[in-house]
Amino acid sequence: MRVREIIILLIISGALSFMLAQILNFENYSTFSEAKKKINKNLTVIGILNTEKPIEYFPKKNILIFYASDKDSVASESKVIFLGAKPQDFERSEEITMTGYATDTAFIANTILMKCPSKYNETNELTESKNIGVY
Amino acid sequence: MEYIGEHILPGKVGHLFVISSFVFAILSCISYFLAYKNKEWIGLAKISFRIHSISVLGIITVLFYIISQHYFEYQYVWQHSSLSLPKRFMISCFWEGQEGSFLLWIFWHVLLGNILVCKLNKWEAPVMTIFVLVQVFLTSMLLGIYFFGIKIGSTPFILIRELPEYIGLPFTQMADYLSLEQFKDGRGLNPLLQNYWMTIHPPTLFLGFSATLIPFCFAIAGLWTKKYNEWIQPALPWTFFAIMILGTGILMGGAWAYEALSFGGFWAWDPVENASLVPWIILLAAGHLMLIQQAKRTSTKVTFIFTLLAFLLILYSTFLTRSGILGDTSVHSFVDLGLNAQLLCYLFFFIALAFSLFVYRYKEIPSNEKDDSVYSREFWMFIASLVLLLASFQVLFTTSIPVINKVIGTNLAPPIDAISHYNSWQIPFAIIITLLVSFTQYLGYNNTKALNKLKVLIASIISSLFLLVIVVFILKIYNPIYILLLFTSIFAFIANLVYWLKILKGKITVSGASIAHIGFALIILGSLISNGKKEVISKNVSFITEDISSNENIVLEKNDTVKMGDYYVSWVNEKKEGINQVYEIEYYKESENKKLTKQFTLEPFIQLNETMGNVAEPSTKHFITKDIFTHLTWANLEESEDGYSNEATLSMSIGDTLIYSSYFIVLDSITTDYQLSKITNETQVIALIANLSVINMKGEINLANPIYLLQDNFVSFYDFELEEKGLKFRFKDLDVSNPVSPTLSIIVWEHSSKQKEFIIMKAIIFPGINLLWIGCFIMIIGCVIAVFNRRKII
Repeated sequence: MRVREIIILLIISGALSFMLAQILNFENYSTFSEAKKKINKNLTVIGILNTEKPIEYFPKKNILIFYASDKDSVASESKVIFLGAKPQDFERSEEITMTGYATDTAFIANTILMKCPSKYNETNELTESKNIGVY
Repeated sequence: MEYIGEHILPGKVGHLFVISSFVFAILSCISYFLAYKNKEWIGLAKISFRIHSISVLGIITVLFYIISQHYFEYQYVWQHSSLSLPKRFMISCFWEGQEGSFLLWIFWHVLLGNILVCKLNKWEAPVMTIFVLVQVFLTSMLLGIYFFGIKIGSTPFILIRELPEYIGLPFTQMADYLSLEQFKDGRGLNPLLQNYWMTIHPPTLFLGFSATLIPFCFAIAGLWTKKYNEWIQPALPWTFFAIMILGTGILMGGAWAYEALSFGGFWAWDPVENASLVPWIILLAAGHLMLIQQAKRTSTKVTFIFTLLAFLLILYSTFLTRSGILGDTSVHSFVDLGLNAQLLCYLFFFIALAFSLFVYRYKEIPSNEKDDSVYSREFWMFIASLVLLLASFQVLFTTSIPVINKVIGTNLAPPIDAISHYNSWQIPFAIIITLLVSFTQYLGYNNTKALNKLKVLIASIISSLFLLVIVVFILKIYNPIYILLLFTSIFAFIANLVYWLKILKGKITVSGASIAHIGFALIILGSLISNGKKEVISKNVSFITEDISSNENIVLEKNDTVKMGDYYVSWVNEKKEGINQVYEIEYYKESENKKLTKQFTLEPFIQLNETMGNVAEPSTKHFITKDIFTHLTWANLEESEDGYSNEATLSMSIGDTLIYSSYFIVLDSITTDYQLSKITNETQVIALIANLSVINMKGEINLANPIYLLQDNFVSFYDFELEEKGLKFRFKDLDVSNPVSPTLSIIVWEHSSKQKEFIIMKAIIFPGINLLWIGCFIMIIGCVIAVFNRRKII
């Protein structure tokens, strides 16, 4: 066998084992119910924002406090403390992807990424602006 | 029905151009295909390509015309431009929408294609067949026609009232719908794109994409015509041209992120950034493999694989960024136009074409039976290409997690801390690559006498070590992995500099490789130092609980002076400039006699962006050795008419005490207002009063009584103002799910005159970032020299 072929084989096996290692290493998207069982473990959670409960931002401390729950269970609702500024139009978002960890009282989020329905569907916005006259 | 005020003609002309560009691309592709066997077809092929080119220019002209004339009946114009849009940004409308960005891509192909046609000679028929085939796919994205119920393409010339999602809405039935308020002006260009970098970054990137197609076409043509080695020579200058342009485009994106976004750095390993980085790395490897093949006629198969892969990865990244699949992982959001099936067709067609042709010819592709010597340049260049492949594979794999989830139904989350995840993988790769870059040039092709160069190489190792000690000492870098990378990149810098000056005797014409490598080493060095030693100087002392790290932001009250790192900062003024709210931050330094002397002023601003949300844009003070980067994390932008702001919603039950501003607020009781309430057979009016005690720091109590009025299921409020305290209360809502202790929502505002104004700011020092930018320039210069030098050989 030539040196070159040995190296190619080495590299291919390296790539495969790397892929395997990554798949085993990656966390799945988690839920609040799971996060509460694994206190202090860093996780990525997708939650649904509860728009009925207050969404409070404290600029001086630069923290945002809101409530969110898992998609299919209202009981999983958790207080979320996000260590950062409130994103624009936060109230309008539905799904929120957040990374952080649970404590016994709240989920501490380091990053949040929101999915805003209106950005994806321009139709909403047009009908919205037409309805304004009714109120 | 006749619609009033519409301009239908330009749209019709534009659509005609779209169709003719598509049809003539097909015709040209077929004729080029036939021309390979039968030269008579070449004339038709050339003419069709010319008509195709003219049609594309026609589409662009018409689109530009309707944008500049503000014909808002066209969806594209309404969506992406407005009356107030400055002329210089009109061209940017082309890359805000997907249709326009396809058009930009098509345009660069037309430009490059017309240059190619003049240069190709005997390669014209096979190369142009593939080249025009890509144009067929791209122009089909603009067709906007339904074929047996399947939508093919999305035309930029569709009228608003013709959009499928609006069909049947009342306004489409109004003859004078254009006089409706919402159609008098467009929604405007996203202000994020109204930026100097964003007018040059996308066109450069797309030119890079287009240029990557050329080596791909040559590789396919090489396989097709069985000229397995001959295609390299004409393809080489184009490959290095593509490396240069695509690299420039990516770096411009980084510069934009650094100058105009508050990422806090020039590279955030965002999926969209990665999607264009991966093809560039593969193209870089392909370029080097082509050099080996050109010199030695070896690595033929691998060269084919890499060259084909580079363009296929461009298609893959197009799919990633345009299909909306990255929605959960990227901050860049892209609207899904319903073209996913078509994008996948585009991707899989070329994968299938490249793969099947390669497999079909595999046995015939010559391979070199002789083993490479470990002391030859080609051996180490080959290794470097494989390392590049692995590095890009890691980036590609992690970026593709959403795709993997879709395809095999897993639920994998991307890494929690993306930047440190990628860095920990990529730093070892960077160490190997910079090491290979440093010594490989010293080896000749064919295991030649390297001994005379050995002395020079050893001298550069020694001087690199010497420099390393100095740099480590000055910068106080103690992480062993960083020190290793620091050494290899300094070594790569010095070794290539010495090679150019000593061995190539400083000649410019042959210096492309050395100069590009010097630039590359500086880029790695600059990224390492600026990221490894970056220092957030705006640490806040306040913290929430012990296990939460203290904030990296500083609170600045107006006209206060606060110590931050080596500086004292003060927010002195704010002003409005167009759509930007600009904040003047002065930086002071303490001199020996304890007096503060002003150093400079930074003006970070917030772009008031209604469509995309407000964007904080940083302001950076550039020094030779470091940058001071400042951006706002929060500023009070809510200016209400009555002067009240700082809104908060208090959720309280009877007896609760909450803190707002500098007051305790106690809910004493809820009572009914008998004067306002009346219940008769016709109407029911219920008025509830929230009795609040407002207690200040001295213990003085004021009462506040906001009223909640329910009249026949209509809610209204009587707000309560405590004028001397500058507080306003609203009894917003009542939750009686627990009848024993109902929960009230009280909204409270404070008058601006009573508030102390403040902003929250983050400041980071990036040392040595200029090395990075200088490196970029040097690398581009190196590529330009390489392109010109290769062109001469032909």
